[in-house]
Amino acid sequence: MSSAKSLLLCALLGIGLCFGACGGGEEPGEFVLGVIFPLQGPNAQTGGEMLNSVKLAADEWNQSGKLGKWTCKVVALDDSGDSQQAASAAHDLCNSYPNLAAVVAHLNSGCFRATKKIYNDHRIAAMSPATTNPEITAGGFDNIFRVCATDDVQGGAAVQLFKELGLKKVALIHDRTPYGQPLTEVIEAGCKTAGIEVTELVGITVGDKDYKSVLTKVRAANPEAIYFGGMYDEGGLLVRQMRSLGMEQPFFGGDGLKGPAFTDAGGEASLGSRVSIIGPPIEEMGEGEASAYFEKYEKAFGMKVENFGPFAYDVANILLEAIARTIEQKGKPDRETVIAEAHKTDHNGVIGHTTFDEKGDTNNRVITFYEVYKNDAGALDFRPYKIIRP
Amino acid sequence: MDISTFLQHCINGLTLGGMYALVALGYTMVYGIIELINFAHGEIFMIGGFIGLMAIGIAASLGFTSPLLLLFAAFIVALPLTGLLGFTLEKLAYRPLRNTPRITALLAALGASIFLYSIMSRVYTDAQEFPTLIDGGFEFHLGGTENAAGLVVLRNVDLFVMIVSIVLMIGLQFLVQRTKLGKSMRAVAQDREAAMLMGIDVNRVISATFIIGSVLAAAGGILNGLTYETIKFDMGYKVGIKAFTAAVLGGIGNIQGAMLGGVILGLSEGLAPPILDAFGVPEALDYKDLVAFVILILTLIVLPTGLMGERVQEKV
Repeated sequence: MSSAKSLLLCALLGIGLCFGACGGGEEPGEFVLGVIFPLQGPNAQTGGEMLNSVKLAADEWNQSGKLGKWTCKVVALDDSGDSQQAASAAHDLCNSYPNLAAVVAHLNSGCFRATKKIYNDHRIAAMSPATTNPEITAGGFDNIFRVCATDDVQGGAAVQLFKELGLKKVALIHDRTPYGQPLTEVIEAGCKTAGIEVTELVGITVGDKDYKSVLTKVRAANPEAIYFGGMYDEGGLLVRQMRSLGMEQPFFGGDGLKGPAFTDAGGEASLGSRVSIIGPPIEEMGEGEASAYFEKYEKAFGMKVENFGPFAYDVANILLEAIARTIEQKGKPDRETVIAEAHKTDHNGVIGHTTFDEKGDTNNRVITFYEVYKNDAGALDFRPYKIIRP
Repeated sequence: MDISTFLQHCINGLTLGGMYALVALGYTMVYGIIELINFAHGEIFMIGGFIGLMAIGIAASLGFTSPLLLLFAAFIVALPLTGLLGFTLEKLAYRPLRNTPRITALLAALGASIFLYSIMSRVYTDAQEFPTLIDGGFEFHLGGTENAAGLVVLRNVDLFVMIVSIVLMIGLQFLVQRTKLGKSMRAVAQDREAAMLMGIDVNRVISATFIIGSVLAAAGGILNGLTYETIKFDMGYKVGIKAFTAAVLGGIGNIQGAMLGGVILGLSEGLAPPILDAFGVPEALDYKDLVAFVILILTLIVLPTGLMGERVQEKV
């Protein structure tokens, strides 16, 4: 009895293993659009929205018939926002799918930094909706793209806002990640040129829950505002603990804070916080056809778009356009041609008009600051506060 | 560093220490009885917080609005339920492995930890807001400045955390030293087989230990929610490691040691980094984990049995 059971178990395991290992068995005429996002862990919510948006775009392309005889299959892997997992996911994707045509890559800068060489080794076009570390496109790889402006642009916008508000003394806190730290360093440099005193540039540890010792020190210098370069949870905890220590200063942050996860973590304390996001305000996004995205998303998934969904949707569309043009020329999604075609992108999408410079960075460099407020229903929400154009 | 900043750091450290102590007790009790480091204890702490939050939600939807009643609901529901979880965990995951090599049970504990963590990360994918049930506090202006720089804030919730921790620890001390159950716990800790021969139901005592440890962890989880006003599925990890450190620091297996270790660890985490910072050590504020573990290592080198641990005689 028990041996029969274990035999069955072995057989099942064997089948499972085979399925796992032969994962690359695509049908002829099917190419793979790879997706690597955090689908587990603290940023899973954001990653899920982006994945849904990519799927939405892929479905539309498959139904449109513009891909010729080919169909697009979306294969999603998880990086949990961790650079090591990102690298192993990228290896998996590149090695097990011979028909991989392009990759929609990563939410977190650290992840993309760890994987860009892997994509380049396999000559796969990789385009990110949301990684903002300036270094990512500085490596000279021609297959790395992103549709979001870098932290040089975002940091500059923060300094510009400080100037407009007449601030003289600010404290900068970052989360020591390849996203937060360079962002605040850009701001520090900008403040120096603008004559704004930086009382403190200090790092915190992601995953800690108690930041009171850092804040107590920041408080002692009495800055007029606090800027945090980091992600939702830490931002929420920081602003809460600031208020509980009697610090009434305005709180600013980058695109890592623009999302309901920040207001969930920060609660009432996050009221009035101002956070920037790359691109124009969602409310102004998408002229004509593109704006249909928000309705389509809500219809397909039963929830509202709140984060980087529009960026992921545009990335998927840009890549699929490049692939479609490649199929037209070569009859198949040839990787080198996809890279070359991606460079020629001229796309009017949800987040605006995207073209790439020679490094693969977008020429669309609008930054919007949002403010946390209480909407009519009494819930915490974001509303556009100021649009900063370069 | 001026005096107000120093006092603020002390207050920050003491609240942290109270929480560490509560969680450390669970580690130390279980280790004292069955020599198992229950790695899932941090997760039990986290789940206790979530059950408390659910209880508050249910009570609020039943129309209770008084913060005190809601707080009471959180404790009255979360403590027994989390105790039940600890009981179940021991019964399902640890008891079948009790007579296997120690490493097997240790791995089971790690597995249980990952299991509970993963489940909770599916149920609550996001940080959850914990209602502010204890509001207000005391503010002292030192140094005459009227801005936030000269301020010392002692929130009522910090006081509450300290008081509840102390009350629970006194209660535990009473239970272990003065009751029959406590006596049998001490007996099992000393020599399980002899205790069995003396007619003590060892299984029952071990179950009770897990229940008590989990109840304390649940209280810690609720206090954590009250302090930070937000809870998340990953909150057990860091606290778990720190509380374990506190337990070892105080001498693992020793109950007073765990309390002392928790308070020392919290205070040194609160005070040492700012002091280092005042001496010009770069990035010192980020050294609080470093401080905690350096203290641990130094204790282990100088006093291998911890601050209050007794040298256990080798059994022949």
